[in-house]
Amino acid sequence: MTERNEGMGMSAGEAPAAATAVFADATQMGGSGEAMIELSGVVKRFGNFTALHDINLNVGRREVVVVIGPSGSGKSTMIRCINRLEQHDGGRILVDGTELTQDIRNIQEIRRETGMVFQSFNLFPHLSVLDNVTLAPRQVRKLPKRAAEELGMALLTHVRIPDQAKKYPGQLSGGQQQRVAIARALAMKPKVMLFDEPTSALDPEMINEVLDTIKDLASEGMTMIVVTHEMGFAREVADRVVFMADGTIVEVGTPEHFFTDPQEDRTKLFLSQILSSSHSA
Amino acid sequence: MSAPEGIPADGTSAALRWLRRNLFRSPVDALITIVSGLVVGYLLYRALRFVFVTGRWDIVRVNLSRFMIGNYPRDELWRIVIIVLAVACFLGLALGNGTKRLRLEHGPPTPVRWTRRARDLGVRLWPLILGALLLLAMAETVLPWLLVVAIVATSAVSMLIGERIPDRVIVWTLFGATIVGALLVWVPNEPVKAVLVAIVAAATVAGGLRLAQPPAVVAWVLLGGASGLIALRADLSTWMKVVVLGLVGLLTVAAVLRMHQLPVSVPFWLVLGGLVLTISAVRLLTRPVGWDGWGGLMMNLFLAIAGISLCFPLGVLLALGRQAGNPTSSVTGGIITALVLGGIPLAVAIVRGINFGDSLTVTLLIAAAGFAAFGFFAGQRSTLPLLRAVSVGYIELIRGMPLYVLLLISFAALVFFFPEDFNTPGLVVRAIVVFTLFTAAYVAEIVRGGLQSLPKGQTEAAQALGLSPVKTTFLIVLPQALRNVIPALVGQFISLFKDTTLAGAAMGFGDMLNIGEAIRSQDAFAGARLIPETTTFVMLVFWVGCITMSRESQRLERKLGVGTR
Repeated sequence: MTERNEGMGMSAGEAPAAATAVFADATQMGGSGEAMIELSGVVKRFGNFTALHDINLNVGRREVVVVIGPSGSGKSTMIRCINRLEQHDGGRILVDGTELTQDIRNIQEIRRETGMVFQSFNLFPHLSVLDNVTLAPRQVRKLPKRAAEELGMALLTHVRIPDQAKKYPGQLSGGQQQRVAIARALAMKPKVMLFDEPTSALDPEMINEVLDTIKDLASEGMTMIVVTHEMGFAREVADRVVFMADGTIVEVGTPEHFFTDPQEDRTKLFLSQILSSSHSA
Repeated sequence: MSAPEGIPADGTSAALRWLRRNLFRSPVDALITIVSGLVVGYLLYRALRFVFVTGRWDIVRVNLSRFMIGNYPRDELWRIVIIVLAVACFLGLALGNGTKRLRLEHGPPTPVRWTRRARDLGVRLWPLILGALLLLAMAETVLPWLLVVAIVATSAVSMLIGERIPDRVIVWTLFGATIVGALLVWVPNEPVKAVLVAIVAAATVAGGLRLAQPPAVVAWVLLGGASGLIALRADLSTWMKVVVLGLVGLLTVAAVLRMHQLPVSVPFWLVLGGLVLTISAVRLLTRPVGWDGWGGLMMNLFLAIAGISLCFPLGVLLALGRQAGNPTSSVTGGIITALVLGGIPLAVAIVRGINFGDSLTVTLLIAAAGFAAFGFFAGQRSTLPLLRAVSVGYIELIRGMPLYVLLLISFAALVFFFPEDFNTPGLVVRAIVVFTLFTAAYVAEIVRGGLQSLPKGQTEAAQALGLSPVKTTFLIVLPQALRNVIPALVGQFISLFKDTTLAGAAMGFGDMLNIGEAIRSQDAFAGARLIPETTTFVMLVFWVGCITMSRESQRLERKLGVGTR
């Protein structure tokens, strides 16, 4: 049903009903056009509660997809399924052509190629900042210590905290910790980065330093899915915005379209609530 | 700060005011103060009178060496001296290396003068120092003094060395010392011994100079093979041979790993060196008399050290087994199931004595391999509940049994569980087995608490980075979990140390408490009923050991906590 709608652009002449169909379908991609992440018919249940209903989403290489939605809408669950922190109960998930199955080798393969940044940082408190960053390259990629440390220092410089390398995570501010977490994920040279509300646990004055780091990554062409409540950031960085509610993808669109001309009532309601409660968007 | 009572203008002194406020606030308070003061004063009077007036401490003074080492042959004391100094040297190196690591991580410490350091050390170790001085004061010859001075000097010097030399040199030193120690103890023929020791020393020096160059590695492997052959040829019991060969295998693996530039860390070598040291010590000390000829404090210490070092890994495995069932820990689950299931027949085979001509041994070994293979595959997925059930069952069974009863069973009733021709192990071995199995259950519960205290995000972050379940467990989960439970673990080890007196009571070998019992019937003291003197002395020695362990664990806890959370 989507075959006739090629490309991302919204042609002004189309009927509103057709336009709705375009943006409700998330299998169309931006980026280079090749699929990096493919979710088709993904279902996730927690006991009797269904957290994800039939999720279809394709993310293209070098594309930045921002996922927004009210809490409990399944945003985090969706991206946690992509690297098997949660096991999906139905449908298929492919990352760079590798399907996520029970096979531990596939899971490890996908986790090696997928970096994740958590809301609560989850740095390893017993390791120094540099060791946090070099752990996975050394243990998983089998990099020699010296090469790993060079890589680690380069990444810490990239996120602008090279002088904190010898400290422990507990000695850093929240914003610095989150930047270390980003460097740690990048150290595996992943093809995809998943961000699970990376700024929600931060004090307001530290949010921007983390968002700037993520923007840098986006401009370097990293494929990313970012779950966030930062509307300004979404508008600035996203190739596409995905709006989720109650475990389904309600609407998908380019940021301009999404924030200025949403089609679904549920989206409009959410945006009006966000805009009335915050002036940042 | 200021008390609500206000300031009395009548010039009562601060002390009086304190007394009134804290002890005589109301008539009831005053009564309680006076009565308890009288009781405490009376008890204190009796205690002091016992210590300084009525106590006949000559029974302790005369038998001091007996309390320390029992009836160990006095001609063979040099063996004990060597072991004690080797332990001091080893601990000094380990401590020095640890200090260096802390300094690398947290920057150089603020420089302090040596007088200040000495005072800090005094404050830190006063029970140990006081206890040692008390013992020395009772010594009748100058030898104990010399020994203590030698111990202090050895540990201080090796600590300074450990602080200053690079990790690589420590690894090499430990490697050399490991093999030298093994050879010294095991090689029967004197000239052969000398030649081998010289080769090892030369190889170690060469290796230390050339570092991890392939020729040195080849030398290691050859030496490993040589000592393995020697171990096979030497007149050893079978299980000793198995231990030696296992160690040689480990050394070889480590050498090969080193060749590939993979991290073989100082802690790894410290653990390995400690193992070899312990085994060498046992071998050296048991040569003239056998285990059951040991006695006194030496016996209690040995039981405690052996029990602690064996129960800890078993307890950690049990805790991991009990926590298993999380589907992401599948490979770990498989390995643990394999170890637990395969370990049971293997342990039985080793205890019986491995003899390949014996059909039961062969059966047990095949069973071990089969169980392990089954455990590995079955434990990975569907039967994790089985592993958990085994761990839970073991832990709850053991925790429901009194230690004393277990000791009595192993002393008296063990023979009923084995075939008649079974060669039952000696009493000390049995006591160690009981302590290990018993304490492991408690260690498992403590470690489980530590595992549960970790936030789930730690495992998730490790998994998201692609770390395997085994690496997640050993690099991320266990280091944090164990650090969180240091105080509880040390508490458990302290009670194990104290419980070693129960083994003496149940099995009747010459541990410190039983020595106290035995010397009361010496001619000079017969009929004098000196129970208070001997038991008080034993109590004091145990108190010194336990309080030192406890204070050092608090210190370790503080140090490990620095800057990490």
